[in-house]
This record gives sequence, C-alpha cells and structure tokens, in this order.
Amino acid sequence: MTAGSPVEDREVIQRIRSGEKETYADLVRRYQAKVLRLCTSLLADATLAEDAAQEIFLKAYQGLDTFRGEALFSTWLYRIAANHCKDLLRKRIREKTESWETLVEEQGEQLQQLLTSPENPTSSLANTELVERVLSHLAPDYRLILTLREVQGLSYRELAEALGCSVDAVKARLRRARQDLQEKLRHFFGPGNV
Amino acid sequence: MGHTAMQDKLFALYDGELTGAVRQEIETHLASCRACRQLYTRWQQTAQVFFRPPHVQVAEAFVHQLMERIAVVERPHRVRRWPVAVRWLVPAVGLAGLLLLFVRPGRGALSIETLLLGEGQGSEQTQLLLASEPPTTEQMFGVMMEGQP
Repeated sequence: MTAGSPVEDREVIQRIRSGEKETYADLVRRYQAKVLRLCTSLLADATLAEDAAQEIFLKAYQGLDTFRGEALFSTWLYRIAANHCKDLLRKRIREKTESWETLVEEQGEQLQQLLTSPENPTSSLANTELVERVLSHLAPDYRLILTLREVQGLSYRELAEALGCSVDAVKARLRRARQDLQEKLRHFFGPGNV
Repeated sequence: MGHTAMQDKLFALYDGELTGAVRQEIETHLASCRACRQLYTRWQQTAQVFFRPPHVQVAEAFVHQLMERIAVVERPHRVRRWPVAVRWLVPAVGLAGLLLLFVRPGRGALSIETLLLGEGQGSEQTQLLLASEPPTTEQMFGVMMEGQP
C-alpha cells in the first residue's frame, strides 16, 4: 500500500470537500500502513495501535477543512498522528513505575547480548518486549522523533513540518535523543565495535 | 568544527542529509577519527536493534470501520419531538388534576375557611380572626395613631 502523489491527494480532498465524503476511504487506504506502522512502533501493541490509527484518521477527517494544502497531506497527517501518539505516550509514562536501574538489574545480560550480536534479530517475543521496555524509558518527544526518522524515514524537512519546528530544532532534538539513548546503553556495548 | 557541530554532521551523514563536498569532508573525517567512527557505528547498531520497522497488516475492515464511524459522526443529531396533541396532553392532564383538587364534585366548592382550618382543627387565633367582624375605619385610624384598636 503506497502513498499517493500530492496531486492525487489534493484531488481527493477537493472531491471530499465538494460532498463526495466516501472518497475519504481512498485516502485512508493510501496512508493506513504508514499511520499503523508509526502507531505500532510507538505503542508496541497491535490493538492499541489500531485504535489510535482510527482516532487519527477520524481527527484528520474532522479537521480536513483546516488543511490548506501548504504542506503535503502526508505531513499534515503525520502531525495529527504525532500529537495523538505523544499524548498516549505521556499518559503511559505517568503510569510508569519501573526505574531504569531495575530494568538493567533484571535484564542487563539480555540487553548486552542484544546489542553485541546485532545479527541476532529482534524477532523473538522476549527481545521485542525488552526493546519496548528500553524505549519506554525515553522521553515521548525523543521516542517520537527517533521513530519518525528511523522507522518512517522522514527527512529533516518533513520532520520539521510534522513536528511544527525548524530544521535546526530537528537536528538538535535528534542529537539529544540519540545521545540520551546511547548514554543509557553505554555499558552494554562491546569494546570492539568500532 | 566543535564537538556538537561534528556530531550533527555525523548524524546528518547517517540520515542521508549531506551531499557534495560536505559529505565527502565528513566521510574523510570518519575514516580517520576513531571516536567519531565509534559514535557512528554504535548508533547504526542501536537503530538496527531498537528501530526495526514493525510488520503491520493493512485490512479493508479497518477502512470500513472508520467510514462507519464517520457516518455516525456526520449524522445530524435529531431531537425527538412528540406530536402536538401529545405535547398538550401532559399540561392539560396536570391542570385538570389541579382543578379536581379545588372543585370536588357533589360536595360543593372548597371554601378558603375549609382549606385553612381543615375540619375545624385550625388554630384558635385563625378561627377568631375569621369569626370577627371586619374593623371599621375609625378603629383602623386609632391603631395607626395610638397603636390601640
């Protein structure tokens, strides 16, 4: 399922505005995979991700009149998705009780194994859970920008538009997010990986 | 170039944001600087482990469910209105009930005395008041002037 071209998106939006509401389904089909991928990466739960994606598309539909076409529809949609997921992550972080020290104590060995043998895929359930536990210790802003960049492959310019900030701010936030994660993981890297 | 600026350039190289001479310059630096190479490699490794694109399953059911929700949201909210005859019925029945309280068929109209005194069990004061003659103008004048009837 690939995203449509900006011209195609604009045409569909025009048709929706002129009363052909059902054509919104075409836009949803185009961007369903991207939005679901983002939500799954951030929320690490298929059901929660699907619920979040539904809310995001519903919000986008309700706000379609405010879409002025200055940015791409995909970027505009990412903005809605980013805000929605950030809210969910913030809520989750408020309920969080596990400290980083506890995680390191309990799963330090597995973490080291995971990082020192990258050819070992993170496909097993235990590894997936460990990855999620580690990422849940990142600030929502950091997790969001890293996911948008690394998983969704957004460029700096697209990131700036989706997050509503400048390209310089994107660079700074990305650097801080990467430093934060690497700082947390610094003890688990092997010495010879240069 | 400062440490932070160099880190930004390294990450920009990793992100594919550099082109031309700048890209070449950073690549040359990376080949010769062990610390920068370590930073670059470690991030590459971290991203490979922690940011793998998840497998997602797109389904038409998702689109249908969403379009149904949109249809519900779009549906105009209707206020249920009763027919005119029914709308008048409630106050009419209420009014009729109230009238029945005052006018009891077969027992004549309910007097104010009956209402106040019930079955003759009202206060003595009220009974006296109702039994007494209305005051004359002179008596009223006397009360106003002297405070005595």
